[in-house]
Amino acid sequence: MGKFIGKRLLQLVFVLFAVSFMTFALMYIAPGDPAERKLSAQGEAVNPEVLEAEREKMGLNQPFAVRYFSWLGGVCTGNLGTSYVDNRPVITKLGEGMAYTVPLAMSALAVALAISLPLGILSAVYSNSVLDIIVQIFSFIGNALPNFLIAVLLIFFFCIQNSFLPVIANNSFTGLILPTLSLAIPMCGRFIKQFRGEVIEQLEKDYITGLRVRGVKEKKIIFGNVLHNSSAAIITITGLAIGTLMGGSVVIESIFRWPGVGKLVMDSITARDYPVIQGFVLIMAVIYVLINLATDILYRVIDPRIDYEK
Amino acid sequence: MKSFKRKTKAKKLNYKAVKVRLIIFSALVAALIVISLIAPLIEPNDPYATSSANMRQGPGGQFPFGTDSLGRCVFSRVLAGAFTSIFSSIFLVAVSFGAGTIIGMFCGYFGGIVDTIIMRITDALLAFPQMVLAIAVAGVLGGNLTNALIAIGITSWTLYARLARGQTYSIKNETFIAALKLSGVSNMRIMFRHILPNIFRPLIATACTQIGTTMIYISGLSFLGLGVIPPAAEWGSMINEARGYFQLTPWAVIGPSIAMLITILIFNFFGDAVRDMTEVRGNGR
Repeated sequence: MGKFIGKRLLQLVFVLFAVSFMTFALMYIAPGDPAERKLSAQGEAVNPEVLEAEREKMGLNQPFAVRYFSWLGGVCTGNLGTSYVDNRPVITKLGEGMAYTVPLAMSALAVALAISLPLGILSAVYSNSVLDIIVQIFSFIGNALPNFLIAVLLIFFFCIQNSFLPVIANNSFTGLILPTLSLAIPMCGRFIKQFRGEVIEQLEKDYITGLRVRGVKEKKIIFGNVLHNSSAAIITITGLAIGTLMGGSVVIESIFRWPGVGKLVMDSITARDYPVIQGFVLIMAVIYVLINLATDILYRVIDPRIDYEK
Repeated sequence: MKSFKRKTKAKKLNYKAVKVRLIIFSALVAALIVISLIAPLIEPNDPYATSSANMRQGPGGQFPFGTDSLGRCVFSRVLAGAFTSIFSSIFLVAVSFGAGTIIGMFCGYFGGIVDTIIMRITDALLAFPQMVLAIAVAGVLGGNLTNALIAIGITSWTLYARLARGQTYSIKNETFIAALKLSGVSNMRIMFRHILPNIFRPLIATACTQIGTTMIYISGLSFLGLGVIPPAAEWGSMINEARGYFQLTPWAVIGPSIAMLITILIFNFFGDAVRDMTEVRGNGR
């Protein structure tokens, strides 16, 4: 186990290094000169002298490798640069956004799990029943609906037709409902399909027949054995879904004007505020990598068999 | 809780049933492709012609899905958008499938330092949530369809590369490959004539399941204004354009939404059928 964690941590260092390099390179695929982009984002008149001074200030005259490592040094100490638009540190702006994005993402994940875990298990246990067919239809449609479409339709039914809920997300609880549902519904579609498959796979194993022969109650088999043995897979599925959730939150936050990092990055794209975009990608990738590492370790804790196989 | 007993063997795939499903959904996919190809011929109106006289008309008569706030025929625009949505997804999946498979096959076959480097690159690319990276790349490059395809394609090839590499790796030590090498067959020929046909099935099955997802990604970028630029018709950007007038012209949102839902469903079912088919065939032999 210790060896496994050590190996994964070593891998983590490499992956983070590569991620930082790619994120840094992202700035250089953008058309135009960074100094010019910065000045024009700040609405300053661009003339050659100002431009040259800005280039010097931003260190653009240094070689690529020097710039990368000085940027990386800054990143390691929490300095992601400053926004072109208002000159505030990127890390502060992202932190403010995170305070809104994390609650939204967490509630979406909680709602998705609360819906799909029981439904996934029930439709596996009663597979081919009416319930299973209804759940599966729901899951197929959820899988085929892009989250922005769900958001638009929810706004139509709850805000325009009935004005139950606010369209623009204010900070109240009611403002959280629609963005949460828009993120949770497509996730449910996928979760139900995967959880159902996982539970069915467990139910087909020989030990289940063994338990039944010995007269163990079905309830106990499902909640004791099957659920315990599927939990490792369920955790992995959930961990991977967080990546989709991050991308989805950009779309959903923009629609509902939810002041999280997703809306921040869309506003930054419009304003050509590259350091914020860069910081956003970096932070999201780092969080995603760490979550995946955590689920991997958790997987081994729950299901230590994999260790012996190697 | 009695009915527990009968369920367990439910998931056994029946060859005939899978075959029927595959035929039905292949036909539906073919129908969608044909519709999108002949769209210019069957559009009742010019999808780009604005008209102040026909603004915000309800569905019916000359305009089956009504008109949008600029008086354009929603039905014609949905048809015109079908080509963009369907073909850009199929194109992107085909390119990432081709590139990924070839790269993966080379890595698996030759191994060595190039293999290590490419696999570490895929590790790093997989560290980014796909849509987050796509939004950032499309946003930095500037929104148009080509950039949106590049932005999604940056990560999508890794799926096929890893799969192809693993598959190649597992069969390159089989005796028939050794025999081919001994008889002096070139590496290229071994790879493309002998390894590729053996690893093709799981790869093509994966590719087919990805079409629907890719369509969701492309329309998502278009919806954000990072993909297809209006006035060009694409479902995601049409929904984005029309949602501001949802109250006045709900049909301008509903039209492309339903088209999109049905198309993605068909492609998802098709992908599942292809995947099940390869599994049934794989077990049967």
